[in-house]
Amino acid sequence: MVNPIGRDNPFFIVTPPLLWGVYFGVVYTVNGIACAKGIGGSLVGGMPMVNVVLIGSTAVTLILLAGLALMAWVRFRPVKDAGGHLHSDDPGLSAQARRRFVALAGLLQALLAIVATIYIGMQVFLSPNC
Amino acid sequence: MAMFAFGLFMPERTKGIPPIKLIVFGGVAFPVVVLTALSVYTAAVGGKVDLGRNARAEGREPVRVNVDGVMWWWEVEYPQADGSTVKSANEIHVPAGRPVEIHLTTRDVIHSFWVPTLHGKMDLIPGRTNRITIQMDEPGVVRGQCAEFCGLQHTLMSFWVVAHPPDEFDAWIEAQRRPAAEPATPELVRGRDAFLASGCGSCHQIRGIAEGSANAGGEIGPDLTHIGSRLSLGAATLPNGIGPLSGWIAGSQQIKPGNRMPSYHHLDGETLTALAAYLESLK
Amino acid sequence: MTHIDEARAVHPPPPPPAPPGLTAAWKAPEGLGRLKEVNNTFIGALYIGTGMMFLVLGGVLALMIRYQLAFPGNTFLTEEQYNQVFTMHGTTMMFLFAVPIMEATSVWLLPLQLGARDLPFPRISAYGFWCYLFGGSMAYASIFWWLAPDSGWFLYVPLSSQYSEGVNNDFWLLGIGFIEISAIAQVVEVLVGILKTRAVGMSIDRLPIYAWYILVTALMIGFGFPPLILGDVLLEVERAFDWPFFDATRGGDPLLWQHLFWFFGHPEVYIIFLPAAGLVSTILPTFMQTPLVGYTWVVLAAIATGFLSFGLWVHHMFTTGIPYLSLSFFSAASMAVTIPTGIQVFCWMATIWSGRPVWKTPLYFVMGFLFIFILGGLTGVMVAAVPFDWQVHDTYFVVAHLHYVLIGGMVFPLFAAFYYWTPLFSGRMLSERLGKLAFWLMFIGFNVTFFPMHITGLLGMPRRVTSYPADFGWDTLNLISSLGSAVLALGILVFIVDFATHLRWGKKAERNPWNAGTLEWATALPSPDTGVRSVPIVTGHYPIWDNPHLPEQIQRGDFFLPDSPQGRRETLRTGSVDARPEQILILPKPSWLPLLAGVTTTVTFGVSIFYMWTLAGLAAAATLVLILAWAWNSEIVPEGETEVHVGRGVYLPYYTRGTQSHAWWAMVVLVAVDAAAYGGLLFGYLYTWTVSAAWPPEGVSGGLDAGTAGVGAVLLALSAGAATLAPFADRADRRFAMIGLFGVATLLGAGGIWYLLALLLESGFDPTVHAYTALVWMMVIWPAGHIALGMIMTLFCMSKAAAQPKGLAWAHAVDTTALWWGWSVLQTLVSLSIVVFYPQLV
Repeated sequence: MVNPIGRDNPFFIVTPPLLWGVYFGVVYTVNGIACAKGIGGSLVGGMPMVNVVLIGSTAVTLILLAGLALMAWVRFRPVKDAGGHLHSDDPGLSAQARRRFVALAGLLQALLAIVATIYIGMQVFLSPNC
Repeated sequence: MAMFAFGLFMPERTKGIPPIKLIVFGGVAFPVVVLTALSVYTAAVGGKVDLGRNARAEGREPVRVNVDGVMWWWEVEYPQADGSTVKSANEIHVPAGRPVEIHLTTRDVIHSFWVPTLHGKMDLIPGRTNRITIQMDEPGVVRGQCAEFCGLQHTLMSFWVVAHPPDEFDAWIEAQRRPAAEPATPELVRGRDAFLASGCGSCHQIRGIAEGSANAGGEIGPDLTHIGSRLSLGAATLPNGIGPLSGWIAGSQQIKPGNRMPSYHHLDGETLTALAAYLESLK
Repeated sequence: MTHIDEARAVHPPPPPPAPPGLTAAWKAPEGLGRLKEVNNTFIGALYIGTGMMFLVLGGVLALMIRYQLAFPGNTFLTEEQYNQVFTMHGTTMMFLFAVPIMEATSVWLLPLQLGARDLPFPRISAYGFWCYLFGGSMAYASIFWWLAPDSGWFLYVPLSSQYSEGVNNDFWLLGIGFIEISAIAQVVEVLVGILKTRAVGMSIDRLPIYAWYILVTALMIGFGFPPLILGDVLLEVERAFDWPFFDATRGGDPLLWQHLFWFFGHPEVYIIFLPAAGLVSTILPTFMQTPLVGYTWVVLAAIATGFLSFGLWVHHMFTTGIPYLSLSFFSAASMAVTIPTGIQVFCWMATIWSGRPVWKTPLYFVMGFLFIFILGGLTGVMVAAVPFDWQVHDTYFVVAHLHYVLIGGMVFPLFAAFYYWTPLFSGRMLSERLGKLAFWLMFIGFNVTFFPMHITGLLGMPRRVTSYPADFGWDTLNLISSLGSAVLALGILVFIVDFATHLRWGKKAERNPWNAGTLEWATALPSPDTGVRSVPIVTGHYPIWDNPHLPEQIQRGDFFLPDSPQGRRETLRTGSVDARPEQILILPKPSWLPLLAGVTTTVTFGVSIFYMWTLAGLAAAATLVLILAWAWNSEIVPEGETEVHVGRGVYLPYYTRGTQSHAWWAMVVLVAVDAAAYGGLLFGYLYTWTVSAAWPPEGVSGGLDAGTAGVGAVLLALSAGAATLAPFADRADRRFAMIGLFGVATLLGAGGIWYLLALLLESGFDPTVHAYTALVWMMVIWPAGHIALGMIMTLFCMSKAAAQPKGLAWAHAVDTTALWWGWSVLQTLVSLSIVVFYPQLV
């Protein structure tokens, strides 16, 4: 089985936005169903339950994304100066450049996904549900 | 854009700046800050736009009006405290200074309710009731129109919002509630008879004439009980009056092709005028 | 950038002629036979030409609209005609021009830029192209009889269903729906092409930036189009057979259509924009004579835009009364998507800052693009704000916004690309003088047309009105817009004249006339049918700038595959990540089959518009026969050779199977695309549940229960087991075991779906009574249809293995069939569990 978030697997780059996509689908569906079916209004700790669920999903997503960002950072640091090897004929050096590319792109994706998740998540505090 | 021009026309000045800084500050930091602010502001404004919610929060119960979209006109109902409703068409009368909650439904396709000077749009969707709350602060008349493409005569599907001084609004409702006036002159009697004889009643209703007759209770077209009091004909297609009325009856397919009313061009001139005069008398 | 200057100084001696075997293999058939040609360079050029034809045709409709609206109360067109004209204008521009021409450009350009002789599935490309040409022409031609679709390009129900009687909207559903299928054929082609047929050393971090954009775009098409195709199917079934998916009087919901439509419709904007941004990112560095700044950042921007754009679809539905918080999510996502776009713009800016501009026509168009697109982006942020959108939604403000984004974001880069790459196509340069004239006419014409619309919209002019009264203050602005549109059209006309005349009188281009760094410019001009003379080794984003001698070395045949001694069309297959050479891919020869299959497919859809089902069935059967004939002759295995020398001491096999192979990847892509369609169906089921009071609704009888569905499920699961084992048997050279396993799978599969459908039918479960019953039927029929298709595939594999045709193999057929079968059964099992258990669960 191929490891989708392996060091050399470019799929790692799209993992953060994919996670964001799942998160987005979940919060949209939860709120949509809650409004359509009139459920989730019961209060938990002074907040409608559906909001608790939404905030919870936001938190879980943020934690996972932060983990991915950290993973990317750890991978990026040792090869941070390998950008110059992009043109190298040497398979070892060019592999380092490739690792740097995957790690950096993954890191940036994770950071952007975090921003996007915060944007979505904060709407819960700003807007009425239905 | 100025930054682009700077780079294009003064290339020597820009060489010292590391490009990565430009991307990080210009492309990331700046938009994130601006967008965050905008996003918060949007959500805050968005919350306030719902006048109905705000009014209820202040303890002011909005006036309720039902609007039903039909290809290509608007049926307007005013539910009354006693459970009855007052029906009219293509005009929404409201008391000035009070929020009015409009319940929007459609009889056929999707329409969209839009009064540009009052509020944003809200769609009328089959199987749903959407709500929008509007408020006119001063007495007056403004125009609204259908904003979702709804077929052939989408262009000619407009309406008016008429705000009365608050104390006159109830009187207006009372007047609308009354059945149609009895025809007072022989010409008007002839007009009424023409209405019944030509089958107008299979689509239109005039409350108070020929009660119980199958010929006067149609619900396909607009309620005509007080058509004479309206500002316009054919969903704000023509001004009101005897001339436009007879023109509309005789040639509605020429004026608004494809609408659901056939042209009654076979009526002779006198009957047509009498019919128009009768309708015009229904204030 | 010393190596760039060096590249300029190199004057190569004339290269030796290509070996005769290579030339013969790639020689295009002569005369009428040229239509057999499947080479992407040929098909790509025709494809682009067809796209331009539709631009002109859509443009004529636009001019008709502008003439109609030039004066208040104009009666040039009746309401009926006007509605058709604006519907077809939008439809043509979106479906027949913008998306196809971007795919066309990639099909034409990618092989050259990747260093491939051709992309891996030339016949699929050709078939997709013919479908597009015939289907698009059929859909467009409807307007000549005033039978064109008239419910807007978004075809909102119920206006397009219960309230539309003629065949007008069937032209849309079947004509356009069918073109979407051809779009997906190109998705498979370019995705597998980018992943598998690159120059040696063109690892994932050295991929040309354009290829990244196309990769993202292809994935987006693959994910966004299928739900729309599903929506098309549902709507057509509602129109033709009265299954009430969207009918509110029978439990359906018209908003479901809007969800399915905009789930495609908003990403669509980025599907159009991203390839154009890729063109800009490729052209700009050439005219700045410096590499693109922030390669990784641009890749990030492209990928992130692709993902985030799927979180925007509801922002076309802000006025439909969806819960406010849900709107806010979409509003927030709309804001978030501007961040990657901003990054991209700043990368371009940084590139401009670090280079020196060479003011040639392509750069003019790129600058025009930046100017217009940034304005369009600003109004985009404005309409992303929910309250603002409530006001301007469906007004001319939105018309202005979308034309700024689409014409600015896509047409200007496209014209830049025409001026830039034409020498590759014709070996001649387009005129600088006419080019600049065309640019200024288009730029000024565009702004004069669309800038005033912002104001007209804010003054309250709604979209899609046939005319307007004179006293609303809209008349002057509309007249200005109409005059501007004439100038814009004139600009496009100047380009067409330039292009037509340059073929004869244009200046001959030298090799690499713009001193560009990307691989496509290493070829001789015009680029020969053989494509790249030998597949090079690259070590960076700008191979020619890295090694100015590269073009000569390629021409001398210094690299891989310099010859084709057996006269076959071949290209290298390389590893998707590190681009190491792995296989010699044998590409198909020219053939009439794609063209004929395109014709029969068009007939199938064309006669369905008029509900002539028998004829449609016959044409579909003919299509199937043609495609099977084509499949029969694929998988060529040269005899006597297992590994051959491809140059530089590298020996490669002709034939591989398994997860490395291009065929396996193509099937994976296809399954993923199909999964998106199935996802749309699941969404439809769940969505309709959320709007229904009871589930199942009152008065519905019959259906599947756990027992009956369970029997069917077991049969199908067993068939999937057998089908999955078949490739293992085949790999172990046990041909008859494979045939037997597929035979068992086929029988069990047929039994399973027959059993389920018969029970459903017998239970009196009527699909026309309620959206619920219609959806349950669709949930069963959809995967059952997949299994039926799978049975044709298993029978094909069994026959081919039994016949053992000489020089041909069936390994890919077996592997992909097993994959397809497993996926079809999985779908069925999901469907069954949902239709049986979900109503009980809620």
